[in-house]
Amino acid sequence: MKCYVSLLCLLLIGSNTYLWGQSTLSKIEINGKVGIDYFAYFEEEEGSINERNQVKAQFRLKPSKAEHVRYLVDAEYRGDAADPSRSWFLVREAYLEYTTKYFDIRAGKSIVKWATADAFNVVDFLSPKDYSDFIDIEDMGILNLGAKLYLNDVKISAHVFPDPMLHFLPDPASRWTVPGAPMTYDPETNRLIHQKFQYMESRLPESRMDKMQYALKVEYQWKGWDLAIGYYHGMNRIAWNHIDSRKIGRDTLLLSVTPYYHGWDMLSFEFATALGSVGLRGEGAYFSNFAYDGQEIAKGNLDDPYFQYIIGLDKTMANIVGENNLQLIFQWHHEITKGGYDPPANSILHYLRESVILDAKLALGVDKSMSLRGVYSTNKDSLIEGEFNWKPEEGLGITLSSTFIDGRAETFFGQYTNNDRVRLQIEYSF
Amino acid sequence: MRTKHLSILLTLLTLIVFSAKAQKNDGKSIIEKHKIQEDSDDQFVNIKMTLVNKKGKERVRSMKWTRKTDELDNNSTLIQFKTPADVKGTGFVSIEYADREDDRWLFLPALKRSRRISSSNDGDNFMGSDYYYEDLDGEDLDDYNYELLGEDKFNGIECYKIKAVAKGEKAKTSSYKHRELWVRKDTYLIPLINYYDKNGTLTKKLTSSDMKKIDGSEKYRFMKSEMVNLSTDHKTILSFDSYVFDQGIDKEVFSKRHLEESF
Repeated sequence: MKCYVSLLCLLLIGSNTYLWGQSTLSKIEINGKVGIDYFAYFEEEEGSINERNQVKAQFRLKPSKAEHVRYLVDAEYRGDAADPSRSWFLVREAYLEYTTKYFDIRAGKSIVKWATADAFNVVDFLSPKDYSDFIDIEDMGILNLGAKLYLNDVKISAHVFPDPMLHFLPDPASRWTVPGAPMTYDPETNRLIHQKFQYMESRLPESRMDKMQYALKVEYQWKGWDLAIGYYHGMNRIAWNHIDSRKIGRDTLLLSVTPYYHGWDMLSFEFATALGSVGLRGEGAYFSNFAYDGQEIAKGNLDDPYFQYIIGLDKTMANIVGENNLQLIFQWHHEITKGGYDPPANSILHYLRESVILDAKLALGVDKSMSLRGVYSTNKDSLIEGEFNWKPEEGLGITLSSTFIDGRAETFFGQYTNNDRVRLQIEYSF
Repeated sequence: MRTKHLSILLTLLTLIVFSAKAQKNDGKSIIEKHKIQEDSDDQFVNIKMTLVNKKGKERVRSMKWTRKTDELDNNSTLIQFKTPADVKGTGFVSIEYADREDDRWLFLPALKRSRRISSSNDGDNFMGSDYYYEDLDGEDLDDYNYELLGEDKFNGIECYKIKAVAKGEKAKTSSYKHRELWVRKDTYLIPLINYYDKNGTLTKKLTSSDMKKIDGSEKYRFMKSEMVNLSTDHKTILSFDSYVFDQGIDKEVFSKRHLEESF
């Protein structure tokens, strides 16, 4: 946190210095949004956080006009009365950028986004995420040095991330944290005994070089196609849990859970085009995990290499109800593993192994819209979300939504079948 | 003999005069003159867009509109929204090619990336307005047959009345069976367009007014236009301000990069 405040100060001092020297940066533009976000689960669970009761204020600051030097500061305050672990002051982005006709160089904290598919993505992992709610995932920025080179229809971008910033995970009392079973069988006596969990400090790569991550992407526009290939080498931000157990007394088993962060190589591709009135877009990646030099592998947990891809079709149909447009998105998400490797169905890295995603959004005039999203996996777990959005005044948005989850306990969505909920969000942009 | 030669000469002259007159007044040649008035190497204007529903409730958006015609005669358009705050940063780029399907990208700040959209979705509304995406394109003479229906007055101004019917690929993607254009005889600007849907029903009406000669240029422009959707009673009023022509705008401005960087 101290680091971000220092960076923010540095950026502001640097910007002010530039303001003195350059007439092009004549004004600073400030905008943002404030809002409240409330949801409640249909079923309450004892000892769990059963609602969200949140206020949020976000501010963006940037020059209103800039030639070669730009900056952006995007900071937010979030206070959640129901889940204090989600309350923060976060500098989501704070960077300086130098741009010319042929290249850009950016330094600071920024959201680096790789994604082409619409509803879900498999290549969007460069920036850490706020996973405090698995169906409302937000991007967080990451410190990086980035360069982009533009050569006609080719764009080459490279990023170096010096610090492996971790995802923000749900509080242990969150409805999105799967609790361990309170009882288990004693391996020695085969009797039912109590089970307690102890969460240990994460094991990150030790050397400075291992902590650094690199990403390279080449994008090309070719006759109506947007094409891209990418390579990433660095840390996988999803940990493997290494579990040690020992008995305390006669009837309690203590499980020490240590998250191990291993390495990840990834080769990716993305594409988008239009086939007549139908949009075709997709992305895919080959993932290969590795342990850093001298790093112990979490017990039997490291994934074998696997390949995931998404293919999506979308079409907007005009004048469906009156003059209103209906946008339909269909996606197929698939995973291919090596040698019959069968990753756990409840893993967040593999949760859409064979899934169909349908998304429909109907505009109702200028100020209202309705949408429905459904995800169905061949593991027979599913998620359905319905949403109604209304903008009664300029800048003011009101969203009422509801989510329903179904599936067997051993599947990804099946872990959260009690998390059906209704949600109200009110947001004012300025 | 001399009389015979004279009569042949007179006949030829008459033919030349009539054919020249016919040439001058056929639909396509009038639209060609409109294109000369409409086109420039590049142009920029600030637009205030007011959406008015049938109850009279208004929504106001402001945007920057930039257009360029390159050396290959490809037209590029960039639209960037400045207000209100919840749509600020939303941008649209279109590059119309003569020999292949157009490139179109929409940038939505919430997504933080540009999304390629189909150029065949001509009949989609643009940002909740009464303009379809195809209404934002300029007249492409190769895409239409233009038939001169006659002469007419609109708001007391002498006009040519022309029927434009899409042909070829455009006929498949266009939302209209045909359009009727009133082209002013003095400046060749179009103060009225009637849009007929595929069933031949008059569905939309675009009227433009407040014509001005733009400072520092030979171009004329309407400062106001109103698109009325006759089936919904919804209308979109555009007010134009600060037209600038031929500033040598770089073609790189019409790119995904520019869309994303501007946010």
